[in-house]
Amino acid sequence: MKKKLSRYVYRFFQEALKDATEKNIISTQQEKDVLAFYEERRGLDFIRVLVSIGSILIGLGVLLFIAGNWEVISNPFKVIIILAFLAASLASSYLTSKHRPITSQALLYLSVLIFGAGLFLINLAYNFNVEAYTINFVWALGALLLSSVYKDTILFVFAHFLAFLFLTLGFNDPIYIQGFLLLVIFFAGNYYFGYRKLITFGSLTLLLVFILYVFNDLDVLAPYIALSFFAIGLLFYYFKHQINYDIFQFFGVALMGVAGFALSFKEIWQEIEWITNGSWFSLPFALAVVIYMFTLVSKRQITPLIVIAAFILRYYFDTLYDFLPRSLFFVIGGFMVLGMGYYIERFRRLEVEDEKS
Amino acid sequence: MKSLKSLWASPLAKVVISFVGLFVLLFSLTVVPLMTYFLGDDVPITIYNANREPERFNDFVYVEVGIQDFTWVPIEAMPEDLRDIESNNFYRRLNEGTFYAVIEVTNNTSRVIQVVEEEPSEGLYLEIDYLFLSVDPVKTEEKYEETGRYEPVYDGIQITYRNLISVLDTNVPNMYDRLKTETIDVTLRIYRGRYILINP
Repeated sequence: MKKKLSRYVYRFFQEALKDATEKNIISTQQEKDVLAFYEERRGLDFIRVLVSIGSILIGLGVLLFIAGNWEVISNPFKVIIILAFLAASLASSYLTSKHRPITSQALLYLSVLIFGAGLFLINLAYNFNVEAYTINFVWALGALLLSSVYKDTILFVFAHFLAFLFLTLGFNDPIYIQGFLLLVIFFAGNYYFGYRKLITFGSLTLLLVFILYVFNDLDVLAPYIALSFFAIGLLFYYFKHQINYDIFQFFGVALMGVAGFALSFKEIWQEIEWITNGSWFSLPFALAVVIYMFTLVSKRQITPLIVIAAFILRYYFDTLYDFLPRSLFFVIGGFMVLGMGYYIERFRRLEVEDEKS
Repeated sequence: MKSLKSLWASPLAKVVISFVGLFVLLFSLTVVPLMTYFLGDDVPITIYNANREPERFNDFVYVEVGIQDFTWVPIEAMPEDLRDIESNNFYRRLNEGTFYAVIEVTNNTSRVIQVVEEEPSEGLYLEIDYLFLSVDPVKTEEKYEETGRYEPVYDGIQITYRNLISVLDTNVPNMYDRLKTETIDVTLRIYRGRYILINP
């Protein structure tokens, strides 16, 4: 199987090989042989986007028409309609797969949408009284099934989105088993889909939401939750490995930033019974986080810079809002935001130039 | 002849696997309702307009859907440690866990409901969505006239069940209009905290 490279990397690689051939470092045959192991990953193209949007619009139109007349249709006929649409969509995807692969793919996405709509509509028609989070769980399983059968990355990412809805909607319900099952599937899927960055990003997001769910279910106090997430952030950042380490690093800094930001408020610390004045903890902690973020900025990272900017704005708002005249407050605040935006953008450009060179 | 492996990986097989898989998932929704349908017990209930202050809205009849003996229960139906209705503890406790209404049908028209915190292993019960104290508006107003201070007088517990009102609204034609002048009898089939509407 050929290894897929992004368009930019593939073309750069192709140019490098061509250059090597022209300089007689490798032969033309060798150039072809090496290139035979790689292929350019298909990016978003106009026709693909257009056909996808078209299929979604047709699907939505049909569903709206049916929904508008839903009450006058008998229940068994409703099920037949849903199944017929699902079968038609899958069959059309099959029939167009050989000559029109893009259309076939769009019809596959339509099938998943029809399946999800079918779940909600059947639940409504028969008053099954199934909770929205359960429906999202089943929908995510459906998307996972199709993504694994067709090895489709977009469907796998969509399954992440559905799983996110499932976790957030069922936040106060017992969903340990389902949540854990989904996480196992998603992390196994990372391997199946060749450790793509977007997928790792989605899986890590779900893992963090699930951890938050567990803390919430166990009634853990907010300061302990924030401290735990800070520790997880440190672990993500410093535990070195080969699987999308940059994504883990990003999550690490972002988690430390968000948790540190939350812990800069004295009220959070005061939730701990023996702490009467939270300022004794919040101020030193915030200071330590900001200093730590500065050390990360010195390693030419952009995320810690955003965290520092958030801290500066947070203290600016908290301390000067009551003392300065409103207009002056907002003018200075506006200049600060503009300045930070300019500085972050300049920093980002330098980073990109560094990467290129 | 094609090998089994190549058949399995063929586009047609993929379509068949997808359709069968999605079909099974779609019908997984029916497992619990079907169990309720075949194993549950029927409980007749009466829906009525539970609005207790109609005189305040003379220009229109405001309908608040209530279910007789199901939505309003006397304070004795609560566990003893939850009956401390004077303090804020009541509301704090309500947010801590899931509550269940154990239903004991004595005859077709009256039933006893006991609120419990542990999910019962058998018998008829429904999962409670929310519990709140029921204010007696007349007694509250009388007390206000007496003392000059507004202090709500509670006379029982108001219970809502998961989606029950919306299920009734979907299935009982013109429910809100009918409740302005009459009561409506329906039948629920209950099994392990779950219910389905049998009639209508």
